[in-house]
Amino acid sequence: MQPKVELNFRHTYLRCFLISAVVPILAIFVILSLYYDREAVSFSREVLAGAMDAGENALETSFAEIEQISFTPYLYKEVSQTMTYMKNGFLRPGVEGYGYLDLASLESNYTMLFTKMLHSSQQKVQAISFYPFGAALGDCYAIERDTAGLSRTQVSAAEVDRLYGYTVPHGSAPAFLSLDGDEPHQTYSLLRTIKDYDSGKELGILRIDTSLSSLAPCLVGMQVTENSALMLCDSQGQIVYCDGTVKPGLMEQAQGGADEGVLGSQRYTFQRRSPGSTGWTLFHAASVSDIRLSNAGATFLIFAVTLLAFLAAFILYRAQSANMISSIESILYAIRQLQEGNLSYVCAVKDKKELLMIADTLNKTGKKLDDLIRTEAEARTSQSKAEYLALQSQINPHFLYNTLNGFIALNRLGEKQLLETSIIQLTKLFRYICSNSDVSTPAREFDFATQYLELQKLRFEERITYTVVVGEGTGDLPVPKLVIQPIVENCIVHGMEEDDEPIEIILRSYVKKSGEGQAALILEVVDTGVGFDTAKLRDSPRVGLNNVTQRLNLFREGSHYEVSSTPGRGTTARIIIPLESARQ
Amino acid sequence: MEILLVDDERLARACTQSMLEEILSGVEVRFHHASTAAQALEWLEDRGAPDLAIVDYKMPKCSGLELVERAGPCCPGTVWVLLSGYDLADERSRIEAAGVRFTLSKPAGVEEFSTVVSHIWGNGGAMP
Repeated sequence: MQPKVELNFRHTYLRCFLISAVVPILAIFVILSLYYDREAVSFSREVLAGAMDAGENALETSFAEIEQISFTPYLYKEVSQTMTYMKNGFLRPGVEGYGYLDLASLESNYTMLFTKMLHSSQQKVQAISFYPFGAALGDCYAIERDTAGLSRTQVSAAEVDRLYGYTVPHGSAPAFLSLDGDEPHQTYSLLRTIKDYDSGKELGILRIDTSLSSLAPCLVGMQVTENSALMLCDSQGQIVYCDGTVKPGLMEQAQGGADEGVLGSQRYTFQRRSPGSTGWTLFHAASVSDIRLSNAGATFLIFAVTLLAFLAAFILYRAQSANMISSIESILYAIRQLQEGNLSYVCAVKDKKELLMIADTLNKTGKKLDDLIRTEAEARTSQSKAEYLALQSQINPHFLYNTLNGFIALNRLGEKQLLETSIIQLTKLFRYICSNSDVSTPAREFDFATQYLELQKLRFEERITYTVVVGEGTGDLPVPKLVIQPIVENCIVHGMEEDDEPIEIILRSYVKKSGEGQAALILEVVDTGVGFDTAKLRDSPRVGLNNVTQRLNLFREGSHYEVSSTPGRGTTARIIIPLESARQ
Repeated sequence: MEILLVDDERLARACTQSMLEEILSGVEVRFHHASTAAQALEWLEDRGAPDLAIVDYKMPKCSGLELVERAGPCCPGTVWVLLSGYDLADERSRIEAAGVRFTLSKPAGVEEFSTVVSHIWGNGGAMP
């Protein structure tokens, strides 16, 4: 699992998904919510209207039933007759009966009929009363629910007048209103002027009082909450029935005829019905927020579904894109590795198509680059090798300069023999250097060094002495060419040129066996010069000796050069060349 | 004429002597050799100022220039010549201050030494 290198890509992709998924889902949610909200409001209103219609019908039925009772005088002649006699005052107590009239039985029939009607009615009729006009004005003949028989009471003429006044606007149709003074009202009354069927004369006022509670079942379908109210007003505008908290001001707006009202911060919608031709009005005020609140559940449900949809989308996204994202990240990481020069990184990709192609190309390119660089490096190394080989065939110009100066002196001083010998030695030196091979032997290397030392003796004479010891069997072992003389030159440069004490140089070759059966050829150069602080060796680059180290390594792996020194005593330099075990 | 040759290489001293002998043939010259600056100073103390001193610049322990700086004051009549295989451009002011009359680069041949000699004693100058 590689570390996340490119987080940007992953985030970009996620952002892509979020915008593609979230925005439409949110939009859908908002649109759905708004639509549902609007629909719910109008639906609620429709439901309420339906309930109001039902309520209206029920009220109409109730009123019709009572009205039906009031038709009795027209349906039963004897009732009408009885009423006539009531009007005439015949049924007054103490009035002597008229022989031919069976007033008692008339009265009894009247009473029985109305009593039956009163009790058999679906509505809870409380009393059926008749107020005759004419001579008996002020009489009131009532059949009451809780009392048996016909009760006679007296009312004032003004009262009858008042009642009559209510019926006038309705003509022969009944008037419905609430006459009791109770708060809240307990009963509602039907008032009707009864006319004689034949003569058309007005006989009196029929009054039927019904308990208001019997209207309540009609209004059961209305939903009444804290923020809504139901109200029933009679033809006079009195509130006969009320359910819910009637807020002052609101009902006035409703009665004023508006369809909507505002109270405080709430908006209300009104509905009204007028059952039959009674002049009564059923009002309903509903708070809009009520409807909204009841929609809250549905809105929440929509939201929950939306959320689920989004979650599902997200999970699917993750599942689908996981492979692709990890593949692309792998590729991006590989590119980063290439940039940083790590050409050996190979990326693996869990894809089968385009991404795999990209990854393959990337890997191949990386490999090609790697190979190319390697080849380049190798080419350069061979060039360096060639340069090194070229380097080794140069002789220190300083040495040449000094030697030639010496030749001038020898010539001037007439030292012909020494001059000739020295020139020959110098020639041999060059011949050795110019020879093609870069492999030599300890014997030849020491020979070369000896010639070199002899030439140096022209300058330093008895200040230099040297000894050469070629170990048995080591003389002809292969060693790189021109590795000894540079060391010897070093001894002289640092030993001689800074001090005038004589130095001795000892050249030795021998084989050293190590514990594990390994053996190495050692070429040793010991001098008794001034020595040096080996710690400072690292600071001063000695090009000549660097050359030796490089060539040793190229010659045989494991070959190296080491030097140790004691300031004031001398220096020991060693070339160590491991010998192939087979040659043991 | 007293000539002092200071050089750690014997061959070089011998060569210089031979060249000067050729140039100064007919003149009575005595050559004195010192292989170190210390030796030279000792000799100067003993025998006084020479007429001509040929000093090699590059010597172990004490350079030729140092020698001239030290010995110069007590040898006012000496003509100091500095011989060197190196480029002494950096030491120019020091060389002048020390009183070196001529700086020759090695290998110095007969021609160069002739020039030096004729500069000093030629053109009518009396040879000591």
